[in-house]
Amino acid sequence: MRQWIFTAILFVLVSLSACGGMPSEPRLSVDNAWARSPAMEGGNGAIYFRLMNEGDEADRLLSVSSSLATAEMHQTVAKENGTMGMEPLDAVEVPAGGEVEFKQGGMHIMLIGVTGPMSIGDTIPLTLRFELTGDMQITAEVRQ
Amino acid sequence: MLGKMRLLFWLGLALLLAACQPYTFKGTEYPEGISAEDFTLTTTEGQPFRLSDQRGKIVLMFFGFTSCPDVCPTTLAEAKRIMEGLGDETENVQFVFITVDPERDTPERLGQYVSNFHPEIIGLTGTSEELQTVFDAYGIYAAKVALKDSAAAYTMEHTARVFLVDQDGRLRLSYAFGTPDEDILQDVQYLLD
Repeated sequence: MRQWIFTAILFVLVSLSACGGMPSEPRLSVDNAWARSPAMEGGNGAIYFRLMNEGDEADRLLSVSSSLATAEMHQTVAKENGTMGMEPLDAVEVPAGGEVEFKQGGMHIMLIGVTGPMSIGDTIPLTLRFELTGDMQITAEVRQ
Repeated sequence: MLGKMRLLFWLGLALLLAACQPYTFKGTEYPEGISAEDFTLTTTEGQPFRLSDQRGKIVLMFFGFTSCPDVCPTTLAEAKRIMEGLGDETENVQFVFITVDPERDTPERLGQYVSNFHPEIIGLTGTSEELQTVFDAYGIYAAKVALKDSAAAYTMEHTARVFLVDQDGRLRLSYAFGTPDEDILQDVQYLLD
């Protein structure tokens, strides 16, 4: 009897410690992904989305790729006197329990030299490559 | 009874005062009377476009380039919504998009780019000297910035304000990037009334 209780307690303890010892990890999801259709064949476009991390560890978006165009991470920056510029981003951190937004006039995925048609309402694929999560496929709806 | 009368009086007075309030423009105002510097550039169809020929119309001007993926399409999409919001009054408003990147923006490319947003938007180009004269007249900063390790090769840093020239050819207002299109539309409609 005593031995049984001991085993039970040991079992519970082991289970609990397994729980507490669960490695922390990022849990990423993407919301409201949309693409601005390039105005012309071979033109440039942009993709915007909200990137959320419900996990307890941060992750970093390292690069993006698309079968339709060369894709790069850029940020629009406001300079003095209403001047706007654009700078490439090396990586974007998605904090644990936080989110980052790629939006007009801010961070965006620039599509350079879009080949093939991109019509309003189409969905286009994009691959996001993260440091910890690895590759994540998303689709973005084409809007004007 | 007397209380009610008094209440009505104050209410009426408040309404009167509210009606007297002058319209407040949403954009940044220029001191009244500044006449917009005249210029002649070339449309994407190869026709000359002279600003002073637009008297009687409100001209909205934006300076940008067709390789621009974010700021310029965002502004042109706003232009489209402004034109749609104007309905029948569209004919009294001319939106022009002046290139800051004549090196890459051929007339054909520029034409395709602007017409994708709205058929009434006119794309304007010229020689580097002609364009520079216009930039100087309107305080436009435009500079080529190399993008290292990017397929885009270079970007243009440029002033991203929308300028409004009224029906009498006066430079009246300008709008920072990101101004809601409803705000610009409201100012345009006020000036048209």
